[in-house]
Amino acid sequence: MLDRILPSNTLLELVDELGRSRRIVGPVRRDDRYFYQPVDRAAALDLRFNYCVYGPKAVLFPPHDTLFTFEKERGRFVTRAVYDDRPTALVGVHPCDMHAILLLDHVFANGHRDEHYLRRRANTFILGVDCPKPCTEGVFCRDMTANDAAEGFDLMSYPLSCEDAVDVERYGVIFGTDAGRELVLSVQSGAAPATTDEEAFDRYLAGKRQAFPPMIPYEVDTLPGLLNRSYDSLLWEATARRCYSCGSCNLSCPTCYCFNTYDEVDVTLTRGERRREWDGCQLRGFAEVAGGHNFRAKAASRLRHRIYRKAKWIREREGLAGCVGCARCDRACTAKINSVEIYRQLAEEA
Amino acid sequence: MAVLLQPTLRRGDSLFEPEPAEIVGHRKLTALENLYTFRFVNGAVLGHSPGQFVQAGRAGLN
Repeated sequence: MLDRILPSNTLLELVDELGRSRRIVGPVRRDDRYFYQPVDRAAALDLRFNYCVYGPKAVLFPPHDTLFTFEKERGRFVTRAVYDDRPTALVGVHPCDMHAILLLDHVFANGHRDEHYLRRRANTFILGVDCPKPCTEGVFCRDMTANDAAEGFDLMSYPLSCEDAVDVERYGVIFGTDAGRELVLSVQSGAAPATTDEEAFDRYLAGKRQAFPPMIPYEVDTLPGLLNRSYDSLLWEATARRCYSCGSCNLSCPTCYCFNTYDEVDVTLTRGERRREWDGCQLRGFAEVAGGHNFRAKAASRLRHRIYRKAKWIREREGLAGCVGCARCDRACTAKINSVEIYRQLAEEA
Repeated sequence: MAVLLQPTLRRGDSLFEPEPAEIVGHRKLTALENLYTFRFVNGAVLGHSPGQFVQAGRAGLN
């Protein structure tokens, strides 16, 4: 059920309202592609974007992040943690990326709590935008059960077409949190949904179910079992022959959360900072340990590791989607390695 | 499954802030390997499990 109906200009007014106390980050068009980037007004955003090249992970878990500073004082190094507490509004998150954020939330909150991520996340208001149809060719979010989002956002908006004027959009909105509800009610605009709005929403959801055809010929819950039987498949070696080990799949993936740490030191060698940066399991040196041993030296073992991690281990261990079917990895791959093709071929072999 | 170190070692909220330690012993094992013995400055005990990795580093050399 919808909580509110908003004209599209009111949705943008909400974003500007958020901008009074938060930095706004959302989809901005650059040439023919979209990127999440900071803007100073809602009008700079394009909420009809297809997809952003990088997911919203880059906002919550930046590619480079300072963890702490260190400085030599009276012969000892003193450290001070660094946090990014800026209030942020992340606007235009699609359901698949919402699922990716839920995974990051889970991973960084459990076991070793990562306050650097969690503080940034706690200060981030998320305004989602639902997808009435696949955002581009090749996505398999439906197969990964990630083309609908039910939680994680403060507000989720559904672009319902206005029946009496096709070129004007209105949004059905669902409140995810009290903060989302208070924001909508604060602008005192829009309306409570009428019966006709709920009927329009039902039609929207029915149309959406039709618009996302299955891309993989089996249910996602069978993937772990399928991969169990495929560890020694020749497919890994055959496919990985094309892999350049460039790591583009990792860098574009909204659920990859591996990172490395390194120090930046000033010229006096008395102060510096420890930073982390994204790492990727497809890079040749990722699994190299002291002494030079690399326990995934072959591209085939790295490819298998990535697919197992996305479709089996994370799903089994966390109960969440390790892959959300956004197909960013497939689009980013310079060798045109395609994960849907891998899943299909594994099914044929099994 | 990750095993958490003793909470007493956690000085602040950040998981990454290291606890100062001193090198109290060193022995060369092989041409490649050295055995260093560390002791926390505050006297804390690590309490780690067999097989558990512990990252040691010197600021600026990580």
